[in-house]
Parts: sequence; C-alpha cells; structure tokens
Amino acid sequence: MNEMKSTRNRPPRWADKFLQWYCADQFLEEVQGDLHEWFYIRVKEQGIHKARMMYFLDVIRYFRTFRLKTTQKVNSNSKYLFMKNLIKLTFRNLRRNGLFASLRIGNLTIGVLVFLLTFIYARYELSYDTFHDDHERIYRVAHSTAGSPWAASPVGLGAFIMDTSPEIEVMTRVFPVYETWIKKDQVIFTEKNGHFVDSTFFDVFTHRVTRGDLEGSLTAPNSIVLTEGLAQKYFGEQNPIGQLLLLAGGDGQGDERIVTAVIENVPEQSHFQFDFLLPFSTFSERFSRSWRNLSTYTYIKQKPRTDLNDFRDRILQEYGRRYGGGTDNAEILTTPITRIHLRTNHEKELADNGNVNYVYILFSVGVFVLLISCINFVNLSVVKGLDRGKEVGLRKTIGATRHQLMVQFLGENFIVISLSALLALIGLTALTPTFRDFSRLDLPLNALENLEVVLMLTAMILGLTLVCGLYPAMVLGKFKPAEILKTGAKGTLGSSRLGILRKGLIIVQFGISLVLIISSLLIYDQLNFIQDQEKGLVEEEVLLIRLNDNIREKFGVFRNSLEQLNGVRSVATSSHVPGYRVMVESINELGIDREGEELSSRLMLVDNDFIETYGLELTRGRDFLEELPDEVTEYVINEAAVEYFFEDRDPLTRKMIWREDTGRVVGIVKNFNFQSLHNAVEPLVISSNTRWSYASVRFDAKSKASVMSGIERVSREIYLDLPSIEYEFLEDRLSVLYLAERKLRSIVWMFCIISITLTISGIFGMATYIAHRKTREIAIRKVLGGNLKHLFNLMSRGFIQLLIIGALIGIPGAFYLSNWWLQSFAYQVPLGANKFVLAALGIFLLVLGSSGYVTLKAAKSSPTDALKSE
Amino acid sequence: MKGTHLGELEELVLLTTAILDGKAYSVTVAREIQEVSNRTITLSTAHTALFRLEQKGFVVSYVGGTTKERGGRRKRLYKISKTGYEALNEAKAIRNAMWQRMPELGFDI
Repeated sequence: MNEMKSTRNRPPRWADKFLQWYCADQFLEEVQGDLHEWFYIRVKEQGIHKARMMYFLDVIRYFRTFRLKTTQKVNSNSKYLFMKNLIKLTFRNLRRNGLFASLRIGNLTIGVLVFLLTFIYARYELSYDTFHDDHERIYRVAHSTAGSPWAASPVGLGAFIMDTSPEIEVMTRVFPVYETWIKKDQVIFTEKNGHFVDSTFFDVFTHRVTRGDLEGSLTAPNSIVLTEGLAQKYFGEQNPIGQLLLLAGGDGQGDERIVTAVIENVPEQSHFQFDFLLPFSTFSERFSRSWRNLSTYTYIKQKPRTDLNDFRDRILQEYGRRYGGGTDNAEILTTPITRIHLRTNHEKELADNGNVNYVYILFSVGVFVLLISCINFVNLSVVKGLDRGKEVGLRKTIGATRHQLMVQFLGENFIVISLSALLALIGLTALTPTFRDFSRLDLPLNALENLEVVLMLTAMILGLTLVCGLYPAMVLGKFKPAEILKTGAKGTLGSSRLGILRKGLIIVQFGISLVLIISSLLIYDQLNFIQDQEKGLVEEEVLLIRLNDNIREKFGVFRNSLEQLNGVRSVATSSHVPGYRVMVESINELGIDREGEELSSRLMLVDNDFIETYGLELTRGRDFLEELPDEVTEYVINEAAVEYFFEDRDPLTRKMIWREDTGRVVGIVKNFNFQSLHNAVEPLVISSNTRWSYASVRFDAKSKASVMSGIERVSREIYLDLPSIEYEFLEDRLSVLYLAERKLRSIVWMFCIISITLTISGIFGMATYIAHRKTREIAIRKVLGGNLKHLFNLMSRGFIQLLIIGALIGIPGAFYLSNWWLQSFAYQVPLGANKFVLAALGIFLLVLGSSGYVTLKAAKSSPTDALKSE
Repeated sequence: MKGTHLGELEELVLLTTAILDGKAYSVTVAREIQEVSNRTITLSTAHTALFRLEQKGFVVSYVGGTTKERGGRRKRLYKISKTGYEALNEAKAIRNAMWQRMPELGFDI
C-alpha cells in the first residue's frame, strides 16, 4: 500500500525514460533534478494528476537540439569539424574569386541542365510502350515483300494464328475506323481515332479502367469502349456506362452503341493512340477470316519461353498458299512492340513514328555540351588552384598529408558540383515548359518524379566529382611545400605533362564546338534546300478535303458549289494525294512476259481535273480526255516510271494493266514530289479510273481567305446534319513531312550557341588568368618598348595553335557526320567547303576577340602599378 | 562565439539571476519571474536562456547542493558575471537615454 502510494507520487517513469534517452549526459542530472523539484511543487499546488501530465509536457519542452545526445556527439566528432571547415573554406574561396566561381558554377550548371534535358527526352522516347504488362512478349505481326515492309496485315491472319499457333498466348487485331462521327442527343462531332479490336484486346494491352468492367466489354457487337477524354466530351460528369451513342453507319441514321467501359486516356508513350474501341464482332465471321483486306494490325502475346521461328515460317507458308507466287523475297516480321515507335517506319504505320537516330543525335549533343562544360571546369579549377600554392604549402608543413589535401580539394569540388547540379535542377523545373514549347519535343514535365532520373542525377554528381574533381585535386595536392614557402612563389605546374593534358582538353573543346557549328549550319542549309526544291506542283494553291461516306453522298452537289466559289479554279478527286502515302500496286505492261516477275509501283486513281489542279507539267503526250467513257481507262506516268517500266520502248505506244483495267499510256508528266524528299521520286502511275477519297481544290493564292469562308458556308448549307467539313492546305501537309528535321534544327541551333558560349567563356577565363599571372611580364615588356600587337601575339598564339589542331580533328569529324546524316535524304545540299571555313573562321574570331579583350585590358594598365605591387 | 546581443527574455532572466544572487537555477528563476512579472515561463525556457547566457559569458555556473525533492541529484546554480553586469547596465543606459529623448506625449482618450 505504501509502495503503491510512493509510485503514484513520483513523476511518470516512462517520461523520465524518454528524457534519459534523448538528453545529453552533461545536462541530464541538472535538468532531471530541476524537473523533479518542479514536479513536487506542482503536486502541492495543482494535485498529482495535473502534475504528472505537466511533467510529461515539460519533458517534451526540454527537447532542444543543443541538449540532444546526437548533437553533442556530432559536435565533438572530428569528421564533422572537418566538414564544417571544408564548407566554410569552399564558400570563402568561391566568394574571394567571384568571376571564376561564377564561371565554374555557371558552366557546369548549363552543361548539366542541357544533359539532363536530353537524357530525359531520350529516356522518354526510348521507353515507348513499356507501360504494358509483359511488353517484352508483345509483338506486331507484319510482312515485307521485296524489301519493303508493310505494317498492316490481312484481317484473316489473326484467326489463322489462333487456329494454328501453340506458342501464342493471346492475339488481338486492330482495324482502324478512320473518319466517322458520333452523335449523342443533338451533339455531333467528327471522330477520327476509333478502332475495331478483338475482345482479347485488354489481355494483350494494359489499360486502366475507370468505369465499368473490361471483362466482356468488347464482346457484344453493339458495344463501345471510350477513353476518359471522349467520355467527358459526350457525357460530361454523367456516368456513361450503359448509355447510348449513335455512330456513323446504318443508312445515315447511325448505329446504336452501348458504352460498356471507360478507360484512362491512352498514355502519350504509346505508338497506338485511340479515343474509342469497337468490337470486332461487329463484322461478319466471313469478313473476319478474309485475306483480301490488308489493312488490319495484328498484335500477339507470345507464351513465355517460346520461340517464334516456326511461327513465322508457318505464316509465310500460309501467305504463299493464299496469295500464290513464291515466298522467296517475302518475310514475316514480328516486331517487339517497344521497337515500333522509334525503329520502324513501314508502309501504313498506325502513327508517325519517331526516328531513333534523331534521339541519339540529340542525346550526343547533350553529352557534348556536358563534356565542354566539364573541360572548362577542370581547366578553370586547375589554373585557379595554382593560386592556392601557399595554402597547400602551409598545410603540408604543419602535417597535412597529400591524401588529406586531396580529400579536401575533392570535397570542395563536390560541394561546387552539387551546387551546380542543384541550380541545374531548379533551372530544369523552371525551363522545361519553355523548352517543350520551343523544341516541340514530347518532353515529360514530371520527369523529376521519376526514380531513374533522380538516380541519374545522383550518379552524375558523384561521377562528375570523380572526373572533374580528381585531377585538379591531384595536381594541387602535389605541390612541394619547401619550394613554395622558400621562394614565396605561387604554385607551379611542375611537369609539362599537366600542360599537355590541359591543352588536350582545350583542343577537344574546339573540336566539339566546330562539329556542332558545322552540323547546325548543315541542317539549316539542307532544310532550306529542300524547301527551295522544285517540287513540280503548285503546293501553295491547293487544299485537301478528305472524303468520307457522308460527304460522298452529296458530293456532286458539293463539288458544283465549290467550283462556283469565287477564287476556286478547279476541283479534282483522287484516291491519294501528294503528302500522304500513295498505295503500291502490282501494275504491268501489256504484252511483255516477265516470267512470273511482276512489277509494282505507286498508283493514284484520279479524275480528269487532277493534272490541271496540281499544275503538273506534261512533257509528252496529253492529259486525260475530258469526256472519257466509263469503261475506258487511260494512264499517265511520271518520268521515273518511263525507264522503270518501258526501258527503251516508247511508252506512248504501249498499254498497261492494273487488275482488270487495261489502258493506253497517253502522257508523261515531269517528276513531281508526291512524297518527302527523303526519297527519290518513285515511279508513279496515274490512272483515269477515279476513286473519291480526296478532293483537291486549286484556288487563287490571293483569295485564300474568301475560299476558306466559302467552303465553310457551302458545307453548312449542303451537309445540314454533319459536323463542318475539315480541310488542310497541301503546303502545310508537305511541311509536316520535315517536322522531325525542323525540330532538330531549332534544338541543335540552341545547343550549338550554348556550346560556343561555354567554350568562349572557358577561353575567356583562361586568358584572364594568364594575363593576371603575366602582369609583371607584360609590364616589363611595355617598359622595354613592346607594343600592343606584340603583347597580343604573346597572349593569343597559344590559343590559336590549339584551335588549329582542334580544327584538324573537328572538321573531318564534322564531315563524316554530315555525310552520314545526308544519307537519309535523296536530295542533298552540296557539302561545300564554305560551311567548314565559316565555322572555323567564326570560332577563330571569337577566340581572338575574347583573348584580345583580356590582353587589351592588361596592356592598358599602367606598368608602374604592376611592377610596384610585388 | 556568437554575437553577444541580449534578447528581451534573456535580459529578464539575467536580471532575475542577479537578484537571486547565487541561488539562481531554472526552478527559482521561473518562480521569480512568475511572481514579479506575472508571466509564466516554462522550466525549459528558463534553462535554455541560462544556457545561452552562459555561452555568451554573462553568467557563470557551478554545481550546488542537492535536496530530497531532487532525488539526490545536484543542481547547477548560476551567478551573474562581470560582463553580464556590464551588459545589463548598458541595456539600462540605452533605455534611459531613449526615455530622455521622449517628448511629452498626449493621448486622446
């Protein structure tokens, strides 16, 4: 009883334990005593319960850093003291040499920033389609004939695969809907991004569902799966599941579709973008086993640990059986889904794919810029470190080892590099949106949330410390104390080897800068060259309208109204138009036996206004007849096709056959660029057998605006129920073909300017330093009558020598790279010497200018001041 | 050493230490301040202030005796130092000087 009372009267034990745990020994006795005393006073005044509670609060209130055990431990630890000293010294040194500090940090910050940007971009582009589960087992099945690969495959292939292939876990086909419209109540929009897919779609691809259930969502023939974006567009905040949508079709009234599931918008990093999905079961069983339609995309998921060789052979044989002909130059391609975006550019790709080379080019530019900035950092660190010879001498004298000094300098560099990395990070966050707008690259904005990027940054700080910090630290740690202290001299770079390394780095810098300047000049020239090429058609005066079923219905009326519009010169319809892929078909000359070999070429089916509308120039023969009977076909070919089909025969006397259409060749048009100038103009056959896929409208360039508003008005009058007609200018479409190159141009330009700035700032820093060290020499020379020119020579000669060696390395490098890049174009700007001379001269002048400026400043100062000062 | 500026609370604690003349430690300081200024301060605040004052050299401390309430633990007693006394005087002088310069103020009610 007594004991119980005494425990109850005591301060709470666990609070005491807590106090003993955190409080440093030197304070514990005093603090605990004070607290107990206070506790008993409280017990008397306020009662035991309150006192116990307050005791605990007081214990917590005593929690201050200076009383913590850890703080005491850290404070008395020599490593901590060393760190504190190191940080203090680092910042003191940085402050003392403001110019050099800002040069070093600024340089490195820019280098790291540019590198990170390109790293993030490259990582983003290279990780396309990796968000799918088991993406390493997903392939697209395509084929290639005579070396020209074709991304799409026959509709029946999917069914064949599932019937015959044990190594395939699951398969889905993707059949594009192309243009259609969707109507809900009175809202109607044109939709271009829907696909018919098998019910197994979500077993192959990974998409997250937000509403409804994916299981069975694509089974019923009248179902539809929407992405969130589209669901939002038609239903707003309502729940779309089970609701009705009308889709184009069903005799113009629309097909009813029931929404079965809503999924998240397709991630940007997917080569296959869509807004909605329809079930393949919409089609008849007969169609879904047909081998005649070659416009579906077949994706498979392979079973783990299986091999696809037999699979490909089996399909190849089936192709041979279905289509006849040999399978010798045909091939079945199974492309891993992650390679599609950057590494394939087949006929009929689902999307405009990227080019892996451009990703590598950009990333290498990033590495180059980083390299330049590192070289600056090393050089500036070394030359500036020479001033600290006395510090090193003194430290060594009082017992510091070389190792300790190295650690000190390495630590200093680590701090400076971390600082730069931090600044780069801040810059990255601030500049990413701007850079994204400027470069039009798909740069992720949330890259810093990515673990890989953060790890990269950490690795970079450590790597840079080793690469850029180790060498200066070694140099500085080597100084001989006796020499320095005895003579009072500054530190010297004893052996000439160090000088060679430093010079070597400057040479590399010059080389890289030259390569970048020349490359950007080249890209610029090549794009201008392409833009100025004679395209052989009137690109500024044509606009294109894609014709879907709805427009086709009343196209006759629409066409008449278009032709009536003020400023419209002519309207033509065709199966294909320049700027988009033109189909390849097997076409042959009548009466020539090629022993089973068939020729194939690009083929356009056009009406008799086409040649006039595009302003194509006939070199021989004539245009199609105005009043051509339906059953008669005429062919016009381009110059490239003359040689290809007819060798030495006169085409105008020959007949050609495509499928069942036999017809005379009536004219030859001059080659015109119906594709991008990456390719040479291919043989093209133009047939008078019209198809209405596109309407091309030729207008007077002057009345562009009135034509645009006219089309709006006419389409609204004629197509009451449809969304207003969309059109596109040929000129715009053709320039899209060079989008990748234009992006590249602006980015390489920017990085080129950055790298020049970095190089020059490095030279400027070196020159300043040399001038500073040579103050007395310059003064004495001046006293003895040396003139400005003489001094200028003295200062710049070294740099110019290095520049010349740099140019000897850089120019061949640039030449090689330029040639490699130009290979991708059929039309290449001549690789004249002027670019190389211009680049070399430019950098020469800049170097001369910056070192000259420094010399001028040094030479202007009065020699007496310099001589008196020491 | 950090600056030797005397904060408001520190000044109060220092004054109290001087008044208590050798018997000052956190408990007595806290009580004294509570009685004189009617302002409640916690033990921790008093102790922290004393610690800072000692770091600044305004008070000196020595180990004193123990009592039963303290469970046999010794207390650390604080005494004002010469510099502490000068600092107090200086603070007082500054205040006085400023009071001298105060004009006659009339306040409307």
